[in-house]
This record gives sequence, C-alpha cells and structure tokens, in this order.
Amino acid sequence: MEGRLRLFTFASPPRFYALTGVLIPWLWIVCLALTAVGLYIGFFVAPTDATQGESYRVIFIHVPAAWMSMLLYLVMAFWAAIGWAFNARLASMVARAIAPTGAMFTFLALWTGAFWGKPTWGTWWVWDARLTSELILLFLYLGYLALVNAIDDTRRADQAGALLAVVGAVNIPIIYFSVKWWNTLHQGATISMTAAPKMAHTMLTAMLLMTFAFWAYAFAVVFMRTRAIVIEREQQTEWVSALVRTQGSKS
Amino acid sequence: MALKANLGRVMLLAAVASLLPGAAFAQSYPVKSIRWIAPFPPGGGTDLISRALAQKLADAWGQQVLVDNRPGSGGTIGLALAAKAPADGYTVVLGQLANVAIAPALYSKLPYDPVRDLAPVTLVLSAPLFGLLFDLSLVANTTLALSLLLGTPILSLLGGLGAALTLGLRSGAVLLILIILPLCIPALIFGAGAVSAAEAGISTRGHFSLLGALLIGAVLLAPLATGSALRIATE
Repeated sequence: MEGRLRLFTFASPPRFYALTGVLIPWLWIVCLALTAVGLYIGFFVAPTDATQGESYRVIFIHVPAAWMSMLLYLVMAFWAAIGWAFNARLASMVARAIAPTGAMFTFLALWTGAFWGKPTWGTWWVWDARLTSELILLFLYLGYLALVNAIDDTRRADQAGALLAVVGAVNIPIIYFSVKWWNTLHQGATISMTAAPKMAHTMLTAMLLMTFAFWAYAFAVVFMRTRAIVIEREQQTEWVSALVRTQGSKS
Repeated sequence: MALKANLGRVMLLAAVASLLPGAAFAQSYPVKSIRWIAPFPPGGGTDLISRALAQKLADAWGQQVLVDNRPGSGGTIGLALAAKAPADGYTVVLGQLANVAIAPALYSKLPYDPVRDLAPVTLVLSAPLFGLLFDLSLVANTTLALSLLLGTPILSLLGGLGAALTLGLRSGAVLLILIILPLCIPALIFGAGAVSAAEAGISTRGHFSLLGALLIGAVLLAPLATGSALRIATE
C-alpha cells in the first residue's frame, strides 16, 4: 500500500489538501502566463475583423467564459451526484466549491456579451434563446447556492444541492443547442471539432489560450475554496489540529 | 401601456359606501342621472371601458350615465372624489386593483379608506381574457389551451420537487421561486413556442412532441426526485 497511487488516493481530505497545496501556485502561474500571452495575441496580433471591427475582440473572454459556465455546471452536478451516491465527503465539498466560480463565469459571459451586443446588435440585451438560457443557467447556480446555504445541516445541504444540480443539468443541452434549435439572433458556433476552423489562426490561438487560462484559474480557485471548506468541516480531526500546530509555529 | 394596464387591472366598480336600504328606491332606481367617475384621462383603457359600459347602462336604465374623467395621482384623486360623494348610489367609480390594494401601502395620507368608504359592485375585466387581449386567433387560442393542458402538470410536478427541497427552511418561499423558475423554462418555451407556431400558421407538432416528452419525463422522474428530496429533508 505504501507509496502506491490508487483511484481514491486523493479522495482523502488530508491527501487532497497536501496535493492541492503544491498545485495551486503552479496553476496560478499557468493561468497568469496563458492570460498574458492569450490577451497579447488577442488584442495586438489577431487581425481586425472584416465586418465587426475591433469589437469582436471580446470573444477572447466571452467564448471561453461561456464554455466554462456550462462545463462547470456539469462538473458540479457530477461531483455533487458522486458525493450523494457514494457518500464521498470530498466530492460534495468540491461541488460546493465549484458553484461560485461557475456563477462568476456565467455572469462574465452575460456581461461581456452585453458589451459586444451594444455596438454590434445595437442593444445590450435581447430575449434571444441563447441569452435567455444562459441567464437561466445563472439562476440555476444562484438557486443551488441559495439552497445549500439555507440548510444548516451539512449532510442535508449537500444531498439537497446534489438533487437540484442533477435536475438542473437537464438544461445544459438546451442552452448548448438553443442556437441550433431556435435559429435566433446569437450566431452558431464558429469552432467545431470536426471541421477546419472558419476563423484566422491567430484568433483561434488566442481563444484557446484564454480557454486554458480559464481552466487553470477555475482549478486554482476551486482548489483554494475546497481547501477552505475542508478545513472548516474537518476542524475536529487530528490532522487539522496537527496542521494548525505546524502552520502556527511557522508564522 | 394600455395593454399592460388592461392586464393588471381587475376592474372594480365601486359604488359609494353604505347604499341606502334597497327598498327605498328598489322600484325606481335610478331616478336621476348617474355620475360615473373614470379616474384616468380620456382615451386610456379605463376611459374606453367606462364609456362603452356607460352607454349600455344608459340604454338599459333609461337614465343618463355621465362619464367624468378625473385623472391624477394614479387614480386616487378620482377615487377620493367618489368616496366624498353622497352615499346614495348615484356616484360610481371605475377603479383598479392598484387604487384599492396598492395605494393604501404607497401613500402616507390616502384621502379614502378602500374598505370603509367604498362599496365594491362587480369585476368588469379579468384574467381569462388574456388570449383575446393578445388578439390570438381561434387556432392559437385552442393551441394555448392544449399546451397549458400538457404543460401545467409539468409545472406542478416541478413545484412539488421544489416544495420538498425547501421543506421547513427559513424563507423557503423565496428559495422555492429561485429554484423552480429556471427548471420551468423548457416547458414554458415549448408551450409558448407552440402558440407562436400556430399563430404563424406552421406546424405545432414539434413543440407538442417536446412538451409531451417533457411531461413523460416529469411524470416518470419527478415523483422519484420528490421522494428523494423528502427523504433528505426528513432524515
């Protein structure tokens, strides 16, 4: 057993705590580096769009944020369900740590979309299928956050939140396909896994770099938040007391 | 604006308070012309409805019904005038929900007491006319009814889930709204989509199929989810 990695090695809160403590600085470095390079390419190297002028450059934040908003909801629902089904403590904590970040990305996608919509569509907001469903996603996050925070009993809060998150996950495909199904104002996806990219390579590079930067950011922030939740929930345990002693002696 | 006003309005015909005992003029009411206060300016929804009704009443009673526009302060000026008029049944005001239900909370010195000074007569306009107010065709109105038939059980099932999740929580009602609202959207989208498709003259089958699929899914899964939620809540 000693020294061997198993599937559930890092499901143990102390091991998770130690691992993420090592990872977080690196994640921040990756995040900042990719953001710097991605924004540089996006703002200074990528060509001006033929029809939209400079305003299109918001996609370097808008599109990755919108992707993250949907992805994080599914990840949150997945970990919440794992935590509920297998009574895995850490999975429930991760789910709760993801929710605020997911809500932030949803808000960012809506906000940057509004900034882009004003010069391009001539309006901050329309009740377009994708915009509306993205707003609904924000409400799903807020509903989850409100529910888990309204319940004092941790176990009940995790389980009720998991149920709500799983039921809400039905909405994700609706958001993703809304542009195809309803053919509304918001354009369809420009990037596809199966076809050659329909945009300049520098634009695509900048967008992918920003996407990876957002991934790194999401990991870093979720890990930090999970660590805080771990410490809070496990404060009665031996390892947290030991941790507090060593940390305390350092400072 | 007129449409919005109509929707929100529960027309309240309020005769001035404490009518004299009916017997006194039951045989002959009305013996003189009736003053009908419309507390909004001419040309608005209240005015149009007042004039249409006044005409019909005048024909039926054989007495003049004089529409008197008294706009201002969101209708409260007209309501106050009616409240101060003699309580003889010859002054009528066409008010709104806002005048009797919201104004008391909004104004620090409301010149009338909706309960004491006014006597309600009848509701003139009410919710079932929504479809007609939006000028929906017969087909679209039928589609609306059918989509409500399919959609309402979905909403009820989701509502049950929400109620189970928020069982016994502080401010559970607000939480319930926040939780259930996003979940209801697909049903609302396809229901409304069916109506607009019917209005546009294209096939509604796709919308109804999706709505039916949602209903089947909700019937199969929502009771299980609600059961789980109740178990979580009562554990």
